[in-house]
Amino acid sequence: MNALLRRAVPVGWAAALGIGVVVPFLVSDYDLLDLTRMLAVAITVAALNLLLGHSGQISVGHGAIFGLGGYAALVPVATYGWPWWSALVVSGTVCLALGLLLGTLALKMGGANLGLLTIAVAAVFPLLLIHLKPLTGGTFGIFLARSPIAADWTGLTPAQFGFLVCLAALALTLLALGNLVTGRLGRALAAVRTNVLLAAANGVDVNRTKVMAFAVSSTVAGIGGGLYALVTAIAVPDSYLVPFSITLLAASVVGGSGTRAGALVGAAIVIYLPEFAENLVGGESAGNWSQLVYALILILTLTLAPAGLVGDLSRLARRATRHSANR
Amino acid sequence: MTELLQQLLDGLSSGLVYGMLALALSVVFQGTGMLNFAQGEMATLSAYATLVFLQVGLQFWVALALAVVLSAAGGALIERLLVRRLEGAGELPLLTLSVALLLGLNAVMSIIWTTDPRTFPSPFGKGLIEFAGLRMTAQQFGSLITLVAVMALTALLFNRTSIGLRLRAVAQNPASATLLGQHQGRWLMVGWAVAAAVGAFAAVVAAPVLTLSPAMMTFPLLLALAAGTLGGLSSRVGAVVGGVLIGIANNLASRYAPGLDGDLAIVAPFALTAVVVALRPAGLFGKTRTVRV
Repeated sequence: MNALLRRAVPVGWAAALGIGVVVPFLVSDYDLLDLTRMLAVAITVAALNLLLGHSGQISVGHGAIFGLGGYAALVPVATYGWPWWSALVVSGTVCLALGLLLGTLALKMGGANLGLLTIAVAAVFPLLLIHLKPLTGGTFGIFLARSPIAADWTGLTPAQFGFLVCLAALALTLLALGNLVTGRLGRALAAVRTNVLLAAANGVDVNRTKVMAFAVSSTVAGIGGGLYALVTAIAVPDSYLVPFSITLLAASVVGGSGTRAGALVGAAIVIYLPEFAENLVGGESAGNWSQLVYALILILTLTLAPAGLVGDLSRLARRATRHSANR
Repeated sequence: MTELLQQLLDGLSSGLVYGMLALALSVVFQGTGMLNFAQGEMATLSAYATLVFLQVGLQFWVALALAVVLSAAGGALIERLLVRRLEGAGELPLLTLSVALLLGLNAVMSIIWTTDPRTFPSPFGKGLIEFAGLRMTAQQFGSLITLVAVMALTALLFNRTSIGLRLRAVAQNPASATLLGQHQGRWLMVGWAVAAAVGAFAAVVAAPVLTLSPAMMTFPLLLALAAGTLGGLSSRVGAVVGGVLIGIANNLASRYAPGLDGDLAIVAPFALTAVVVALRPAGLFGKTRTVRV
């Protein structure tokens, strides 16, 4: 990356964070909830990016992990009255365990079979939720009267506070994952992604690296799901069906799984496309139309911009600035 | 004992549907190296096409034949327009493409025909066949015969015709096949057409039992994927045998395993698959590829 862009990128992130801090005081609480949901989804997409873009493993089941995080957060709050932040710890821990399990199984299978394993998890998860009714509330799920993420002593409304919490969580996530992929683990991941034998020959513990990527990704995705369920104060099996998992995968690929800003772009599509379709066609078929558009965007991205929107746009930007610098 | 045999028989007849889908998956996998998650939705679309032809007033077998031909053309089109662009891009983009197709085809069907389930007429009538205390509906028996016949035809196509020879050559060693004058892209396209046609049979035969809806093939496809993994996707016979095993495992689990009734029985075939893959990563009939460094 050339010098101009290298300086511009942190400035851009700082500006985005600054705007983020101001937004809750400018936007109505109703619109703010959509933005908050977007931030929570962005955390999960960023987690999926680590897996897809950096470790080269696929997951068609992150919707289920997102849902597991959501349920793991809501059950302690709704049933035992735990504070919300401790519920998030539960989310992270439960999903870490699932991630370790899936990651270990993934080693055995690898490649296309990993797609099968994860899509099976995505398909079975809603069925399990309905089956485990005493814990999960069955088909009707769990809902709270209001979001537990609130701090009335600050004078902020729950919507404002929830947004700021999610913003902080996303910033932390992007920072942590960013450091992870530029550090030792990131170099190990890049080596494994490029050539397994080469990586092993250079002293990288291939299996450990792959499982770690899966575990970290799953943990972070679960925390994203936990935040989402807590701010929306509801978790129902119907939210976590297979198409949702595919939507998350689409978000990662379309945004650009190798980039950081891609997570935000992908999450924005996940949240706002259905609403846009609702306004445009309305009624029951809106969901189907937005599903169709997801598919088309995904296919177009795959064929025209394989590095994702952010990935290919920044490549263009790099080329343009290099050009002007040379002149 | 009769009860158990009856369960095995029921498992066999649903297992053949999974085996048929797995056969389609296997044909695509051998050629393109892609696990086609959209195979189930493609098959469902074929069933809808058949229904449209029936509503126009065509006879059942004519409608089916037309739908199969159209499906083959559709499969070839998908290969030519989309899959070929991503050839050589690796496993993940191809897998993602198939997921995108799954999402897109499902949406198109939901928009045109809504998500409400429709009854699909059975060409075999409502009769009941009884033999030695075992029962089978005429629909089950007819579909069993149809599926076995189509599988036999596919086997003949692959093993006894020059088309099959070329298909196998391109799948096994693209480079040598090209040197021998076989246009790789054209034969991959034919492979996709064959797979789509095979899938069409599976959907039409399953539709009277499952009732036709855009999501009809979601679970059969998952089971077919498990079947392919269990039997080995690199072997067509393996895919079919895997399908039958999966069908039987699914049926036995939903009948006998406590807590696994209804949809949740799907856990059993996946557990079986996981055990087999742990012991034989390439599946029962699959060949392990050795790479020389």
